Amino acid sequence: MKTKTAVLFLFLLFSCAERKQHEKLMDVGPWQLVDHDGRVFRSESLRGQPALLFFGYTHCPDACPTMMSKVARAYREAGPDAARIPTLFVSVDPRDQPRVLKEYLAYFGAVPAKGLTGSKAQIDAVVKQFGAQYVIRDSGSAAGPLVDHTIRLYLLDRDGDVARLFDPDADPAAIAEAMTAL
Amino acid sequence: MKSGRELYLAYGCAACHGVNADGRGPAAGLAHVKPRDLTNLAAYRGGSSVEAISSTIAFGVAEGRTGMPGYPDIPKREREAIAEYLRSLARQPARVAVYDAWIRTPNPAVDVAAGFMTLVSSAPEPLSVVAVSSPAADIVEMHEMKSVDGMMSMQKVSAIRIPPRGTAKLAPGGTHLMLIGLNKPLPRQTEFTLRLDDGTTVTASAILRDED
Repeated sequence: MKTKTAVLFLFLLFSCAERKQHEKLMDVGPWQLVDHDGRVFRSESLRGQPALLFFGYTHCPDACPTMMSKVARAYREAGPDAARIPTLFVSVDPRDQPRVLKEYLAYFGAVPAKGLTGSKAQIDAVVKQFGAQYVIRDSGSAAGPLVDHTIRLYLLDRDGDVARLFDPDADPAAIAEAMTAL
Repeated sequence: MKSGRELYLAYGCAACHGVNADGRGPAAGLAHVKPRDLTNLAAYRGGSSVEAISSTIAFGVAEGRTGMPGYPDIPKREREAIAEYLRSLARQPARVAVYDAWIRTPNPAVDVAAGFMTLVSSAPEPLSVVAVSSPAADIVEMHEMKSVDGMMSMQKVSAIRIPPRGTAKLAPGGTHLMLIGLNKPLPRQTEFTLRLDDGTTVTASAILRDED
């Protein structure tokens, strides 16, 4: 019994110490979107587990696929333990219906990804909470509107706040390290 | 005297050989031998010097039995002017080489994809790619990615410039070819035709692959 208590005590001590280890870059606060199965997604549902998040859109020809392949490499580097950390792909393009998002993300099989979208008001609110930006622009392209958007990878801590931010040219090994450290 | 091009049109050469002298005139289908593409010097049956072309115009090819009749009434000076004009159309050898062309394997959920390659010019002057086409897509546009106010911004551009004896690298995070309306499934190898502002074209074979 004593041993069990001691183990529990050590465990709590360790996990508290671990939690205090990182500084938060940004407090985010609760938010709500719609997931790629059409269900309401509340940020609270993430509590207790870290997550990766970035803003994009499925017709994004370069930046988003590049970021996604970088994320896939980070998961490979981080090993099987990282599979518990979801990657949230928040689309800022109203063309991206949940079904499209789901099909789009299924292609990146190695990444436990969840597509998120929502009403314009919901999307705008989340974008603002993360200090991000996007502009949908008539581009003169046959591909339709092009979307300018912040392309940074957010690592959310167990409280759903931003622990780390990665630029598109970040090293996947550094992302992997930060993922496993949380 | 009229210019070589004016004479070419005035004497009706374009009926068979086409207004662009590419062998695609409105009457091309009526000839029992396909009219030559006169922009290809190697295609001239009677030789491609000014004298040879002038002679072919006067006497035809094999006395007209191929479909090219002789026009001995056209004065020699005019025949030579037409010959000079045709030689001026001759395709230049490409001065741009394409390396490492690839298309990022498209996501099945969307009908767009990005293509990348390295263009190396041997020309002493700057050249630009002004149009691109490929059987893989309905439309190929040239897009440039820029960071604007912390956002990634994609711009459609009308040309990709290659510096004199220099290199233009189309790579993720920079410039790419945007394939719109994919003809799926894409084959493992896809041709691109790049038109340059000097009037020449370059073809490139791009392989389908993922990021490194």
